[in-house]
Amino acid sequence: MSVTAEVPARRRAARSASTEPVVEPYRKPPAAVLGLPRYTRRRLRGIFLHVALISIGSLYLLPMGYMVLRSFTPWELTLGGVRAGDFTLAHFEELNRKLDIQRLILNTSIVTIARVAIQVALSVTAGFAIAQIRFTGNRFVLVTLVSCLMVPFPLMLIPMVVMVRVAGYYNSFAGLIAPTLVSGVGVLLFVQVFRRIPLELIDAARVDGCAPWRILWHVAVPYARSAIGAFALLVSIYSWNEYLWANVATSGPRRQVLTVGVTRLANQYGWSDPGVQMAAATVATLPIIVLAVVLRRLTQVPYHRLPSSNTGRTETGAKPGKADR
Amino acid sequence: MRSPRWGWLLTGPHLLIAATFIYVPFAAVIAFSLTRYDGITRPGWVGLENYRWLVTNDTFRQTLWNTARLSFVVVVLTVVVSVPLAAAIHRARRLQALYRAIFLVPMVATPVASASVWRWFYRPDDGLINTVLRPIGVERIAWLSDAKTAVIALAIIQVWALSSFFVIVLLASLDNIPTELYEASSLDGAGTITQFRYITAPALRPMIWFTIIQSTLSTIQLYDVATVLSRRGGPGGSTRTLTMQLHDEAFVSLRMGRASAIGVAIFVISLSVTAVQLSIASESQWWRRYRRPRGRAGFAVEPLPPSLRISS
Repeated sequence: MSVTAEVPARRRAARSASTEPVVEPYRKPPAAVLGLPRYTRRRLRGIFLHVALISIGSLYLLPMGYMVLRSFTPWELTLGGVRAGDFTLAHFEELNRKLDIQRLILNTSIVTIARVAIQVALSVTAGFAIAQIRFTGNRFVLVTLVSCLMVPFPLMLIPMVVMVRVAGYYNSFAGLIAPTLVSGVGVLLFVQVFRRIPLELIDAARVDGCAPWRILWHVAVPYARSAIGAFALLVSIYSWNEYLWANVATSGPRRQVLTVGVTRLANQYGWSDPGVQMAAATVATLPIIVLAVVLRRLTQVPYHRLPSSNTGRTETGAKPGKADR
Repeated sequence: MRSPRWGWLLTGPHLLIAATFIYVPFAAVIAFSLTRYDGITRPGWVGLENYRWLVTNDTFRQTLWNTARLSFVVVVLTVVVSVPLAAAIHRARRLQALYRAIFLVPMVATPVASASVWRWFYRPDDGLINTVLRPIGVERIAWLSDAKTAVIALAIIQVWALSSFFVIVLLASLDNIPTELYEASSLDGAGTITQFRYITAPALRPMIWFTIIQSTLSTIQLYDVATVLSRRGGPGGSTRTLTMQLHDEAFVSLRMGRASAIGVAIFVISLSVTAVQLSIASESQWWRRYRRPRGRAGFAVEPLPPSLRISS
């Protein structure tokens, strides 16, 4: 094609601009290197890529795989000595005797579901109002809610404990859930998403006589379905894994969650009963891993919609850069 | 649409909760940090005494040093590991879904649970890591009972979890790069490295900064993994983190005033580190030689050198 014909002129242009590197013009790759034809080389490169990725991937998977394997096999065997017939539930039975594991699972699920439901509801409504409803104080609300992002949770720990104790909610679901409901990330995400709703959709709904809450319910929520799913998954991962507050806000098994139970077990038994500790870790982490892997499509949604660090280079609220002016 | 009533009705609940659980505690923690308070009797005013303690105390200085060292190592290692990994996964056509699923696992794994598994890997005599290292001729390493290796052990867990998070996040923004850029540039003779330098890296830059900030913050505020590895901060306090010291001052030694001052320190440190990183990310662009026009997909694309430019 004409690509090769243009090369000399381009090269001259490249040399004259001295700050820019001279990039070699197109050269046809040699048909064979080291006696290997191009096709074979490409194949080999692909195989190498996959071998590397699979070995690194299995390294990443190792701790969790080890945990699951060892919780279902007798600990006395070495890792190499495990055979297919060695499956046993003994560790889980032992765990059930040591901890009220069903209660812990129930508590964790209740806390997680409540957090997800409330956080999603709060963030969606606030995000919609900020993005689509004009009212005095709109900007103030956005700044007030999003600046909650900057406050690290450990800072809040002491006053929250004092508050929860004084209010009489120590060791209760309300005390576990309420202090963790504010979500700057959620507000930010949904403001970004709802700003992109096509104006025609909103106008059509308004012409049909929809009140704002009906527009929210019938236009905005369906529009943001995938973002809502992604945010819900994010919150459930965070909530399931949360340890610091759950440890401080409860005592005794009545309102304990899984993370606290696992840690107590590890502290209590130290270097004894490894099988039981593996079983406890499995119970604590396998449900959320399975959930995330099943819903993994959702993890691909929110990150690139979040305003990236500095430049505000998002799909919507892009600040005009210097080059645009 | 204009509707003050609905505006306040829809944002009201969130505002109310934010006021109760962020703004009131924020004011309270600053007030507490100026008092002596054991959680039971009335707090007594001591002025800046707690902050004086922070500045002069050796234990706290060690904790600060621990945190700085740990976050630096973790962030650098995480970026170095995960950028090529994400690029490689993005290149792989087959099995891509499998790789994405694999790297999701460490990211979502419960930190306390995975730390309680990693703990067994670090056993000096029968732990998995030493068992693997022994045939290569590495001496027995007492991972968790030596001050130096305990930090490395903690960093490994943190890098394992954070880099998988990085990979997932970077993959999401790699998906956003229009493939025409790659096709066109390869037609013009750009190799893999040139493509990475001029297309992939500029597109990833904002996301890399976002994740650097995220992982720095989470390492500064680290608590759960460190406390499972060793409850009181490891050998010689080498893995004691800021949050761990806050927790112990508040709920073990019952010195809530001092703990509040540590909390304020965590806040100030997090905020200033983020501010520095943001300013580096936005202002100084000493590593780029070109002015940055806006790309067609919403992110900036560094201009290709003229010889590679796609002319219509």
